[in-house]
Amino acid sequence: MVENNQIYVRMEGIYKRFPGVQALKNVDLAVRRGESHALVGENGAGKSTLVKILTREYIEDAGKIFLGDHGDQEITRKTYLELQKMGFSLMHQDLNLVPSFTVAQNILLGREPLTKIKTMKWSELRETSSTIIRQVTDRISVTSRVEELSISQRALVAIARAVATKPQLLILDEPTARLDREGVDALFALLNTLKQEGVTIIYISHRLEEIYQMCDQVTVLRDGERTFTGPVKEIGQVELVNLIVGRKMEQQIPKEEVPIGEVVFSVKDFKPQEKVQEKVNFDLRKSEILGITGSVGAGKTELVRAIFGLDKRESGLVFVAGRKVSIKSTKNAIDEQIMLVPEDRREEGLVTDFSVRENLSLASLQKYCRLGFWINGKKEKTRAKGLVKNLTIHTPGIEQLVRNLSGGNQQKVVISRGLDSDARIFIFDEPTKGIDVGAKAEIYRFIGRLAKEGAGIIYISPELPEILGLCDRVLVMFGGRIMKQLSIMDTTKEEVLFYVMGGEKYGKQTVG
Amino acid sequence: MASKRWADFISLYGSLLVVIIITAFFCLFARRFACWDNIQNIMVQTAIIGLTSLGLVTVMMAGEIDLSMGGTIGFTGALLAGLVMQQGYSLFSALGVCILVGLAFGFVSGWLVARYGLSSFLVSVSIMFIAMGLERAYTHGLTVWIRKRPDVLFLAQGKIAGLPVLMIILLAAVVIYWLWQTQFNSGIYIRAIGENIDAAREAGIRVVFLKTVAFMIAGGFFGFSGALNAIRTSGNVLYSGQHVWIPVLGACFFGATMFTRGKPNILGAVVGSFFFTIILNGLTLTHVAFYMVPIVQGLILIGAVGVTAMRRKEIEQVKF
Repeated sequence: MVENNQIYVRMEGIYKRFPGVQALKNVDLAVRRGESHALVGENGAGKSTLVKILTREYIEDAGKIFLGDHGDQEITRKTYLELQKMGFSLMHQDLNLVPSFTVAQNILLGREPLTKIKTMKWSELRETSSTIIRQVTDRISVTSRVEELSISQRALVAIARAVATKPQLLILDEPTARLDREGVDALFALLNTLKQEGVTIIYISHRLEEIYQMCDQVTVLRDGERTFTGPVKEIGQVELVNLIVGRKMEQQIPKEEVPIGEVVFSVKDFKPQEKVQEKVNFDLRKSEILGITGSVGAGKTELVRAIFGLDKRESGLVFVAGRKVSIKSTKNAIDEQIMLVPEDRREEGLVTDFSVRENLSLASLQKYCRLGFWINGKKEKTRAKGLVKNLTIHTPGIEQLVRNLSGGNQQKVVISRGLDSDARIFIFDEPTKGIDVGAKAEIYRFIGRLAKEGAGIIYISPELPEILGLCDRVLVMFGGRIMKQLSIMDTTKEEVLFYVMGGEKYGKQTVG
Repeated sequence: MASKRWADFISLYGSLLVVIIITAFFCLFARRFACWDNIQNIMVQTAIIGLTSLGLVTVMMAGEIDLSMGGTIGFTGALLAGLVMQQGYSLFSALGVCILVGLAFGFVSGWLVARYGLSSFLVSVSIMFIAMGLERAYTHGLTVWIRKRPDVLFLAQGKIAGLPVLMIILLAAVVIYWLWQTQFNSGIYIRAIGENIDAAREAGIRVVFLKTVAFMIAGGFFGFSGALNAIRTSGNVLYSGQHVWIPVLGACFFGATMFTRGKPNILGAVVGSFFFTIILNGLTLTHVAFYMVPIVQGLILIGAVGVTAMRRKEIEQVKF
C-alpha cells in the first residue's frame, strides 16, 4: 500500500434534500490517496446519495467538492464524464450492462478501439477486454453475451468495466450484493492488486467481514449525518455497529402484550429458486409477529414471494395449521388464507386510477355480488367506509382516486384490502417503506391489532427499530441464508445489526 | 440437453420455419405462385416493404416506435409524382426532395422524443396524420399518374441481370445498413441505447443525438420508399401509405421473433417483409376473398407481438 497522507478528494458541508426527507446534513468526507475508505450506515443513512453526488449523478443543495488538498481544484461543476477522464470510476449497484452485447462490448462500451472511419476493431476489442477481465476472473469468456451469464458473473463484468479505465478513484456501491463466494474472492484479489498500485477506493458495504478485510478507513453515516471517521484497525466490530445504530431516542412503537398461541403456519426445507442459498425452516404461531430482516439482497423478499406462490421454489413443504398444503399459485395461497402485502405497492398492489372503493373491493368483489355477477353497490360501499375508518385512511371520500392519496394512505388501502379477505396469515413486505411517520404509527397499531385478533404475521423490514418494536421474534438473513433466530425479549438492536452485517458470533470484541 | 438445444433452435428459428412452410404451401397449392414472373412481382412488392422496415427497425432498436410511415409514404409518393410530372424534376432530384422531407419528419419526431421524452407512439401517430393532411392538401385528393417518363418508370419496371431494379436497391440497402449496424460504433450504440439507456449514458454515449439520428434514418427510408412506391404503382393514389402500414409493422415485429431472443433485427425484418408480401400474393392467387388479406396479416402481427412479449418476459425474469 502506498503510504501517503495526501488528500485525494474532499467533500465539504454537503446538504441534499429529497421530497420529504433530508438525505444529507453537513457531511464532510476526506479520502486520502491510496486508501480504501469504507462508507457504512443503515438503509437510508445517505451512503449512495453521497457517492452519487461525488460522481455528479445528483447535484447537492449546498457544499463543495475538491480534488487534492492544497491548491485545491474544485470539481463541483464538472460532469461525470469529465470526472471519468480525470480518473473517477463508479460501479453502480444496478450494474448497468447491455444484455445482448458481448462481455467485450460491455467492458469497453463507449471506449471501443475504432478505425479512422469509426468501425470497430474487433480483434483489438477482444484482446483489450480479455486482459481487463483476466484481472478479475479467468472463468468468463469475452465473446459470451451478458444475458447468458449468471448474476454473479454479470457483477464481475460490471466490476471489470469499472476498472477498465485504469481509475485513480474507484467507487464500489455494494459490489458483493450480487456476487457468489467465488466472485467475492475474485473481487478481493483484484482490490488488493489495485491497492498496491495506489488506487484510491471508496467502498460501500453492509458486511462487517469485508470492511475489516479490505478497508483502512471507515466513515459512518447515520440519518444523513457523519458520525464517525477513523482507522478501521482501531475500532472493534461491536463498537462499529453501535456507531451505526447510535444512541438516539427510538420512536416508540406501541407493542401490545398478547398471549401467543399454537403453530398456525410452518415451512420445512423450503428453498426458492432465486437468491436463497440454503433450505429454510420456521414456524409461525397464532398472534405472533415474526420479523424477517437483513440488508438489500439478503433474500427476504424472494423467500416470501416463493412462499406465496409468486415465484418458483426448488424444494420444501408448507403447512397451515399442521396440514400440508400445496401452493403453486397466489390463488392457492389465498385459498389457504394466506395474504401477502407486496413491497412495491404501485406496481403490484394498486390500480392507482381506480377509486379507493374500487381498490378496496378488487380482490374480494365476489363477496359483494348477487347471483355471482351483479355488484351489490350498497354492501360494497358500507364495507369500504368501514375499512377506511378502521385503518384511518385519510381520504376525502371513498370515491377519491387512489393516485391522489399520499404514499402512506395508499399503503393503508393495500393493507385494508388484505384485511377484507378471510386471511389468517399475513405477510407484510416492507409495509412502511417511503411513508410518513404518522402513517407508519397507524400501520403498526393496525398490525398489532391483527395479531391480537389471532392472525399470524410475518413482517419483513430492514429497519431495525420497527423489527424490535413490533415483532416477537426475528429471523436475520444474510447472503441468502437465515443466519440467526433471535427472540426480541432477549436481544438488542446492536446484536441484530451485528448479524445483519454478517457477523459471526456476537458478544466478544473482535478488533482488526 | 438435447431437448434444451432443440428448444433453443425453435426459439431462434421457429418463425423462419413457419415462413418456409407457408411458402412451400403456396408453391404447391397456388397456381402460378412459383413461376418466375410472379417471383419477380413478389420481389418488387417486397422491396417497398423491406426498405420501409429498415427504417422502422432502426427506431425499434433504439427502443422506440415510429408509426408515421402510414402518412409519410403517401405524402412523399404524391410529392414524387407531382415533382416529376408537373414540375419536370429529374428522377434524382425528385428522390432527393422526398428523402429530405422524410429526414425532416424524422428529425421532428426524434427531437421531441429524445430531447423532451414525449411518447414516440403518440408523436409518430400525430406525424402520420399531419403527413396525410399534407398529402391531401398537395394533391387536392386527386391521383397523379406517372406517364411517359421511362427514366423514372425504369426503377419499377426495369431489370438488371434478370433481377428487378427495386430488388437490387433493397439488397444494396440491406448490405450497407447491415455493415453500419454491426461494424460502425454509431450503429452499435443505437442498439445499446435501446437495451439499456442508463448503461449507454454512463458510457458517455450521446443518447439524445443518436436517438434523433435513428428517427431521421427511419424518416429517410420512409421518404425514399414512399417515392419508390409511387413509381411502382405508376402514380400516387390518395393515402397509399395505409397499405404499407400493416405489412411493415408486421415484418418488424415478426422479424423480432427470429434469430434473436425477441429483439428487433435487420435480417428478421427483411425475412418478415418477404413473408408479408408472400401472404398477400399467395392469398390473392388462391382466390381468397380480398378482405381476408388484412385480417390474416393482422392475426400474424398479433401472434408475432405475443411471441416477442413472451421472449422479453423470459429474459426479464433474470433481473439485473
